[in-house]
Amino acid sequence: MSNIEDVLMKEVKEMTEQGFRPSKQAVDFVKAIGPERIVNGLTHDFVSIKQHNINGNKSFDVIPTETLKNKVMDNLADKLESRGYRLTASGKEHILDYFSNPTGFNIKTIIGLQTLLPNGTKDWDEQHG
Amino acid sequence: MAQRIGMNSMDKENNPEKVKHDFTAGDPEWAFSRETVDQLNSIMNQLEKLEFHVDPIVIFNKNQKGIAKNSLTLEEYQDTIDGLSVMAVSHKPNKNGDYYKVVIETDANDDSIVLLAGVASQKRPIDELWNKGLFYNKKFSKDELGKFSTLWDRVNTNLLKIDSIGPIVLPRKPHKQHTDYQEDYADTVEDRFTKFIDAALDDGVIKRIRIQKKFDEDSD
Repeated sequence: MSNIEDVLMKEVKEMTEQGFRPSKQAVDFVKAIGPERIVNGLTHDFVSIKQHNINGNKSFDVIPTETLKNKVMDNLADKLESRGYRLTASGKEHILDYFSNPTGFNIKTIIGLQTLLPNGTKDWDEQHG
Repeated sequence: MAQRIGMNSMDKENNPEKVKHDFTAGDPEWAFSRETVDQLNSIMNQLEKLEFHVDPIVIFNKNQKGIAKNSLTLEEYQDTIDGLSVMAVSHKPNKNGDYYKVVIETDANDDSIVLLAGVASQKRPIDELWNKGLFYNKKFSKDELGKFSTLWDRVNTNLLKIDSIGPIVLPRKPHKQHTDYQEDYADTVEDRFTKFIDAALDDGVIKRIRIQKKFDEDSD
C-alpha cells in the first residue's frame, strides 16, 4: 500500500472510530474507480468526503467537487467550441446530472469523458511509490 | 466533374450504346422525373464541392438488361428503368484508410428514396465496422421529401464536413470477461472525440454552431 493510501486509510479509520460508516454510495463509488483513483481524486480536489449525522446515524459519501465539475465542463465546452459545437441546454443538464448523482457508474462516465479532454485523466492516474 | 443526371448521359454506365431517349420526357415515374433528377443533381453539386468522387447511374430492371434501348419507344424505355442512383466517396482516406461513402437511390417500384451515409475502409473488413460503417440508413416515400432533405442536410453538415473520419469499431481494450475482441485497432483521442460528437448530436446533447471569424480591425 502506498504512503498516500496509508494517509487515506488513516483518515477513514479516524472517521470510522468516530462512528462514521461508508454509505452504500461511497462503497460503490470506491469499488467502481478503485482506491488509487480515490486517493488521487482527493489529492487534486476532484472528490471529497461528505459526512452525515442524521439522528446519530453517522455515514459518509464520496462526492465529486466543484473543481472537477468546472474542469470537465470548461474543457469540454472549449474543445467542442474548437470543433464548431456547443452543448445544448438539455445536454448540459444531462452531463451535470452525472455530478449531482454521483453513483459509481456516473463517476466512471465522467472520467471516461475526461479521457477525451486536454490533459485527459493524468491526475486521476498518477502513480505513487 | 461527375456527369449530370438527365437526358441519357448516365446510360453509358450500363449500356455502351447512345440512347436516343430522355427518360425524363413524357410522363416519367417520380423516381426518374425531372424534379427528382434536379434534386439529385443539387446533392451531387454539394458532394463535389466537398471534393467527393460522384458516380451517378441509372438502375435498370434486371430482366430488361441487354435489350437494345433504341429499339424501344420512350414509354417502353422508361419501363426498363427501376430508378436512379448516386454513389459518392471522399477522395482522401485518412491514415487508417477510412473514407466517407454516400449512396442515394430512388425506386420506381415503391416511389421511395433511400439515403445511406457512413464510413467505409480500405483496410478494415466491413464486418468490423459497427453497423457495417453506416451512420445513416433511412428510406423515405416520395411524400416525405421534406424529411429526406432534412436528413440530407444533417448528413452534409454534421458528418461529411468533419475532417476527422471516425468509424465506430469494436472496443480497443476488451472487458476482461470478453475474449473475442481484436486489439489492434488504431484509435486516437481525436477519433474517439469525433465518435462522441456523432453520438451527442444524435442524442441532442450538443449542437453545431457557426465558428466566428476574428474581426480584422485593419480591414475596410
